[in-house]
Amino acid sequence: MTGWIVQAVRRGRLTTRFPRAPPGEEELPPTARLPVLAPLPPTEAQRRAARCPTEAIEGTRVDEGRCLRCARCLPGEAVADGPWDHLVPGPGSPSAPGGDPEAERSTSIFAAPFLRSIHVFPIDVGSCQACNLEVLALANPYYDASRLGIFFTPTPRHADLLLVMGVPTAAMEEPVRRTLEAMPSPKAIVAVGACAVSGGLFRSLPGRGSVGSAGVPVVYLPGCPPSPIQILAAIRRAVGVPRAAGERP
Amino acid sequence: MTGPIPWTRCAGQPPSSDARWISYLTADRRLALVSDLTRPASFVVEAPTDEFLGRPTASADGASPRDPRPPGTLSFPYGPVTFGLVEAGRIDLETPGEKVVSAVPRTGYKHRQIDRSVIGRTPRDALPWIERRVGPFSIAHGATFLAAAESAAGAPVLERELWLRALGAELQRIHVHLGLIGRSLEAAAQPVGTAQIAALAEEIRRSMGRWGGHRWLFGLLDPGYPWRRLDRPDLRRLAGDVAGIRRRFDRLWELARGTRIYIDRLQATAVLPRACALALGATGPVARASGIGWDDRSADPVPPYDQLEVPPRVESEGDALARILVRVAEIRQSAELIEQIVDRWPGELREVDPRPGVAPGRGWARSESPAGDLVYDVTLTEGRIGALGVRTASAANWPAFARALEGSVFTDFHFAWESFGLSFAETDG
Repeated sequence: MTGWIVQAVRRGRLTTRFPRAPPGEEELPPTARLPVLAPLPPTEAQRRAARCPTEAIEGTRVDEGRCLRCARCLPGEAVADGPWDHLVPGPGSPSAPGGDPEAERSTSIFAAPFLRSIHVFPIDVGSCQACNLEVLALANPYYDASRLGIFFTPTPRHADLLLVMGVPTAAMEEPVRRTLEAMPSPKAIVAVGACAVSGGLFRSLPGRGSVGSAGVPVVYLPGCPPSPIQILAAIRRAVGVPRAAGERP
Repeated sequence: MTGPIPWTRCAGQPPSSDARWISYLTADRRLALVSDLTRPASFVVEAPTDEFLGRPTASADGASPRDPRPPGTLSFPYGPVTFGLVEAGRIDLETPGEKVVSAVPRTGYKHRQIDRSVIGRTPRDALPWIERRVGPFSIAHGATFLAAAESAAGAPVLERELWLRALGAELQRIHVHLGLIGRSLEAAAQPVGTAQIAALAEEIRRSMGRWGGHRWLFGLLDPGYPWRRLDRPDLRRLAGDVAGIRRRFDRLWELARGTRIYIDRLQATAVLPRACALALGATGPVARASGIGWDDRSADPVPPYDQLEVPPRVESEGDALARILVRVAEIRQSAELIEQIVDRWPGELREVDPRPGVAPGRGWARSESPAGDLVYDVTLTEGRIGALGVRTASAANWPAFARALEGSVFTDFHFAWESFGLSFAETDG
């Protein structure tokens, strides 16, 4: 018993400085960022678009909700240096042109913001497990979501926020509906990952994009899978805490 | 078990009437080609039959031989909405209160039609789907699939690609085993151990992210992937990361081994005797923990494993502790393998012939995924995928899991679950 504690203390503090400081490179590998495409001659651009497994490319515009950040569209030595903290407006739709991103970022999707504590329940509706494990990673010492008042709950009846992972399959439709029913109001959803946002690779499944049809506000977090820092940021934004710069000291 | 193995799906049209399905006999360590074709890839959440689970089947009047149940027996569906299983799937447990009388896994909740989605694509274009069948095993699936496609096409492959696949697979093996050990500590209410092991799992994901550009190494196997870092300093740095993780893991495991509460919960829990493991066709760490010394990396090696020493890590007890011990030994073994792979990284670009195909345009490959023996069977027509068959280790291990759980008590469930390390996503596809 004491051995464990000595061992833990010896390792020291591992927890990220986020949100008081921006996330480090360690926390955001290049595939966490949206690729930025330079204009190309039409034939080249077509070839590039054809390489995209989710058909997310139109010219130099990338549909953020569909993009897997798989880098197949990039030439060999290119880097993806697009933004990491984007949420997207809706299933499969391209990023809102001319929208006011700041306004979207600072308001809660709840009528009354939960400033101190939020209980989240993760539900898998057809994922490859990567999103599940990235969500679970929020509990590890590197992210320690509970220091920010984010707690996992084992039952939807205590949950404010539902984290949906994966593309909704036919068999999971009913379980998802009943889970949402079991949650008390006010409630909201975070669609975690490209599959939940737009169907991603599985856009041929009838359930794709159905996350938003439940009549509950949804925050769409793209990525394949989004890294834990991005999930943390998305939960904070859904809850309506001020952005990192305005964080309490 | 020589018969067809259910729970595998084939998509598209079978290439010909004498199409053969690849399976193997664990008993005499021989690869057998068993003829079976394959149910349609339609979607069902199905309960396996008694026959499949290796139980005596119901008699003609419909009475199950296991009746009568003890009085007060209730059926408890665990899942599909629970985070105890980490993903969406369901196990029906029958219990009169404490002892589990029967456990019936129900799969299919996560069927995403992957096998069907890749039909008509070139192998390279199909890779994103194959990798995302199950994220933590992405390299095992991607590599085995590509090897099967190369076998079908008869196309030689650069030796370096094979070494890269092995390196990625060993990294993911460490990651998967760490996750299972960490969650078994959680089930034994060891929060410090859980957190410390979870930190190691995060460290290896970060190492993979720094080295391969992606925390799950999605895309790494594509030759055009921009964040392949195959220069010696990058590989050395990766090996250094792994060595550090292994050192820290050794210290933590010393502590876990000395924690009575943890070991007591694992010992004699969910026992799978050797005879059962053989009869039910168990594979991977599950089989090795029951005394079956089969590991694809040494029993049926492809480069680079034919040049590396990979003695199977075997235990004999067949309980949850044995399965965890096999995983502990494999974390150490994989760390050593990574060191050797980096040390002997092939400099010159030599080409290697693939495994011979089974028919013109049809090839197969197998590899030891973190969960066990994984087989892909790929048919190419004009360079595109015409038919695809997969036999996953998770699918193969369900009967053994159901059998091992029978007779356990209710609270043993999580120790059995984490020690078996099965994946619904891998099974469902």
